[in-house]
Formats: sequence, C-alpha cells, structure tokens
Amino acid sequence: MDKIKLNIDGKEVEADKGMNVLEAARQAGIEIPSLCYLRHINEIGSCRVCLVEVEIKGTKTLQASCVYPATEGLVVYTSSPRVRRVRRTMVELLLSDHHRECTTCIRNLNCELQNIADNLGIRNIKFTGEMKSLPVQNKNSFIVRDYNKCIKCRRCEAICSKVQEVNVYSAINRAYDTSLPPPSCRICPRWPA
Amino acid sequence: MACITCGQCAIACPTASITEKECIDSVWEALEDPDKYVVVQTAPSIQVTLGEVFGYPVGTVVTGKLVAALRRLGFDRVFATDFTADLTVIEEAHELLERLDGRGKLPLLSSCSPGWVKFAEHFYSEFLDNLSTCKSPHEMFGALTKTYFAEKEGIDPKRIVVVAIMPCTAKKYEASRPEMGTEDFKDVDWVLTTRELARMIRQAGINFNQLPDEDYDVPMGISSGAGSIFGSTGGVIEAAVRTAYFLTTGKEMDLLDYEELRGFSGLKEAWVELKGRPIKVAIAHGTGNARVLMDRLRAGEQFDYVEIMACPGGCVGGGGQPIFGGREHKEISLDYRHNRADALARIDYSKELRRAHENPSVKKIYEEFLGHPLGDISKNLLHTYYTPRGKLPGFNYGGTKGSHAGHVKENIPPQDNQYVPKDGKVDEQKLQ
Repeated sequence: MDKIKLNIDGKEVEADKGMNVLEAARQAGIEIPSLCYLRHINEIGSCRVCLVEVEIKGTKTLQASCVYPATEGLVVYTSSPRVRRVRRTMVELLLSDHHRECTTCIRNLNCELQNIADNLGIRNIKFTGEMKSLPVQNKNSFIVRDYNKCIKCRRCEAICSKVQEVNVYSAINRAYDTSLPPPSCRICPRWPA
Repeated sequence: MACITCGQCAIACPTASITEKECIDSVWEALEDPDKYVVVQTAPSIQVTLGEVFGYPVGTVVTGKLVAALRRLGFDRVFATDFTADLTVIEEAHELLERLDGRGKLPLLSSCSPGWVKFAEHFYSEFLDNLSTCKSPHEMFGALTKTYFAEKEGIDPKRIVVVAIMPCTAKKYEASRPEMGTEDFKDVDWVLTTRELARMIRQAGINFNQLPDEDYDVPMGISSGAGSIFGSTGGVIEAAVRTAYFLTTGKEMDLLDYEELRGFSGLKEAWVELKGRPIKVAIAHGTGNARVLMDRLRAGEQFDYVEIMACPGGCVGGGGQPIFGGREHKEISLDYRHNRADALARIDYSKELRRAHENPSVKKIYEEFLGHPLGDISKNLLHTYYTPRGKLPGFNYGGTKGSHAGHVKENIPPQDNQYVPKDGKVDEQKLQ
C-alpha cells in the first residue's frame, strides 16, 4: 500500500493512498465527529457534521472530510474556529426539524445525534422553521418507523441495498421533503405499513 | 422491494427513526397476571451480547447473570433456545441424510434464520423445496412448551405464555406467521429483542452487575455446545455435521472443530465426508452474500448442504442486538461481531456436551414424546411450510407444502384460506 503524508492540525500524518481525510485523521488519533458516515457502506457526505477546513494554495475551503480524498501534502484543520462554528450550525439545522422528545425517546442516551449535540454543547437552536408531523408507521409486527426523527443520513438505505442487497428503502422527493421510503410504502403483505 | 424484516436498518439508524416494535408492556402484563404461566427462552447469542449494555466488554459471557435477571423479572421458568437448537440439529441432520439418500431435493438449505427464509420466499421462491422444513429453534421451543412441557407439568397450554428473547426483529415477524402454531395456540406469544430485555431489566431496577450466576431450569435448559454456536455464522452446519457424522458412522468425529466452517469471510465452502462420499457445504451470511451463492445455485452449481444467515455475522450481528450511539458504530463492523462470535465458540469449548445427540434432555424428549426424528409428532409440531411471495410487497402466491419426502403432513391450518391456493398448486406463471 502506497503511503502519503499530509498535515492535519499542524501534525505530519501518514495515511494510505485512497483514504479519505476522515479516516486519515482517525488513524492518527484525531477525532472528527461524523454522523452519516459508515466506512465502506455509506460515504455520501450528506450530514456535513464532519466538515473540516482544507487549505489549497493558501485558500481555505470547508469540505466534508468523509468524502474528501487525502492527498500528498494536503493541509487540514479539523477544529479551527470557523469549523467549530459551522459544524455547530450544521447540527442545529439537523435538530431544527427533528422531533426532540429525548426524555421519552426509545433511543434516549443511546442516540448519535444526541451525543453529537451534547459534545458540541448546543444549548439553544437559532432556527425556528416548519416541523414535520408525519404519522408513525407501526402497524407491522417488527419495525416502527418515525420519519419525524429522520435526519436523512441514508444509512438505512445504504445497509439495505449494499450489505443486505434487498433494496427496501429508497429516497423520494427532494430537500426538506425527502423521505425514506414513501409513507404509503407497504413493508409487508400481511402487515400494511 | 419487499422487506425481509432483518432489522439491519434499525441497527444502522443513528436516531430513533427506525426502531424495533416494542412489546415490553405486553410481557409485563403477562408477568403480572397470576393466571398466566410465563416461560422464557433465550437465544444462544443473548448470553454474549447482553453484557455489553451493562458495561461489560464485547464478548463477555453473562449466561449466569442473564438467567438470574430473568428469574428476578418474574418468569416462571427460564429455559434456553439452545436446547431446541440441539433438537433442530437432530431433525435437520436426519433430513440431510434422508435427502442424501435421494428422498428430497439437494442442496438442503438451512431454515433457522427467519430473515433468510423471508428473503428466499421473496427472491428465490423456486428453491423453497430445498429449504429445510424444520422450524427455527425458537418456534420449535414454543411448540414443545405448549405440548410436551404442558403435559409433563400438568398445565393447561392456554395458560402458558411463551416469551422469546431473541437477537432479531425477524423473529417477531416469524412469531406472527399463521403457520407457526395450531388452531389452539401460537407457538411463541411474544418476542423481545436483546435491547428490550435490557430495558426491562433497567425498568425493574435490577442491578445486573451484582447478580449471582444461576443455571437454566431443567429439562429445556440443558444444551450442548452445538446449540450455542447456532448464534454465529457457520454454527448450524458445524453442529449438524457433527451429528450427521455420528448417525452415519456410529463414531464421534475426531476433529470437532471445523475451523474452515467458521470465521467471517462472507461466503465459504468446504468438503465434508459423509456417508462415504464427500459432500459440499457452503455458508453465507448477510443476504448480499446469500444472493451471490443463490445465483450460483441457480446457474446450476452443485452443493449438498447450505447454511445462510440473513444478518452479517449471523445472530451475533442481528437486528435486535445492542446499539451504541458511539463513534464508529461498532455493531455494524464485522470485527465487533467476530468478538461476540468468539465468545460463543468459548462457550462451545467449555461445555462437556459438544454434540447435540449427546444432550440427555433431547434424548429424553424423543423417548417420552416425539418418538423418533422426522416422526409424525415432530412433523406436525417441529416442521413448517413456506410461501412464495414475489419480489414486491403486497403479493401472496399461496401456500406450498414441502413436496419432498412428505415432511409436512397437511399441517396447514384449515381456516387459513389465504395460504392455500384454490387448485392446490402454485401458479408458476405468476411467479415469474
């Protein structure tokens, strides 16, 4: 495996060729928070929580580290003031239309979104927008789907289509209206959604 | 496409958008009802994963504490699904030998994983005759609890509630299948996932870490090492081959551990000597790998015995196993699942009983109740049939009975018209 050298937070770091910046940083012991990323399964950069600053020819741009390839001589800042500020905004945006009923939630204290919000110290959310109220789909005997808590990371879709190769989930609509899968979907013949 | 109910999406979901359907309240209700006799069974993999929720490192065996916790919760009897896994081994080993004799289709496909069964019903319905007609161990357990155990203990089966602690959301679906039971009772009443059990233990305020180690109840809590390894990929075949070898040669196998059968590559093949001829076995886990294997079968490749588990890693990676909102999302990684599987292998090594047919409780149940493997009673109680369903949800092409060797003897409930096609045949054209 070819090795490359890059600079993350002022530290010279060695990484394998073909790795993304997120993996390279984690391999070097530098933690970048991530949400939608699942190694080799879901690498789509949809949640933008893993944003870092990448410096090319003196210009710094914000990039999602999970989909940005690590290249020789790359300079990366994972925790600059700008990164921290923007990252916090990204999570606030995710939380702005998320049904935040944490104390009564089945995943309370075991939720990745909650965990990240806690780590970033989010105490209030600037954004007050539309809040979805979709019906909870619980009429089958095994899985409950509550799309009001969906953050569109598409990990369910990725694992279903890439690992299990069953392809139950697929996204419909765009932007704010994106849903996985359509609410009218019937998950099983005997147990309508 | 149609859902196979494996629950991997619930494991992958970072929030509570996709979760298992909880039935904790119904179980509490049954426990609180003085008229009900609540019997609980725990799947082999629960003993190596439940500890994670209470802070133990991955791969810690907490069998004793698990049993103690269930007693504290108020279950009347605490049994192990490992016991009926042993029984499944015996039934399936006999089925394999029967099919090797030319009665029934080869390859024999295992049927322990309900996610895989539903996958086959949807996407590979032409192979339904190849599926072993054995019910999965937890359904066998339910059927026997409400017949053999009820009779032995003199309890009215209607009073018995069977609760299954499973690593699996597909087991919840399986338990709700109409063919899993008789007119009088459902084999298994409630299925709880590992996560739900952990929540119940917390709700009851039980300090899991301080619990003493206790043993399963007899008779249906005695199990061999063969039953334990059901919980990881490769285990079913390994267990069945151990027993089939004994049945054909009358000798125990020298080499007890088929290393080549275990481990975590997605697709494995091996040759095993049985009945004086080499038989080709294959193992796949994760339905993505199953698809590769099934497409090879479709293309005409010959195998004799195939084990498929719907979840990557087998039950240790099941959709009902503990989830941690941690950084790497470890439960999804195969390394993590491997550690859990290693713990199951350690249980197997540590047991004096390593082969299913040595299990004294299993011997006894054949003497007292079932007669012999693949006998009439076991065909009625322990075997089932499958339904071709088509690739898209919402279709049902009618029931199919295992047409080989006549294992399932008309045990389709008469009222269940939905599953019995009018002319008694499956319309082949519709299946295309």
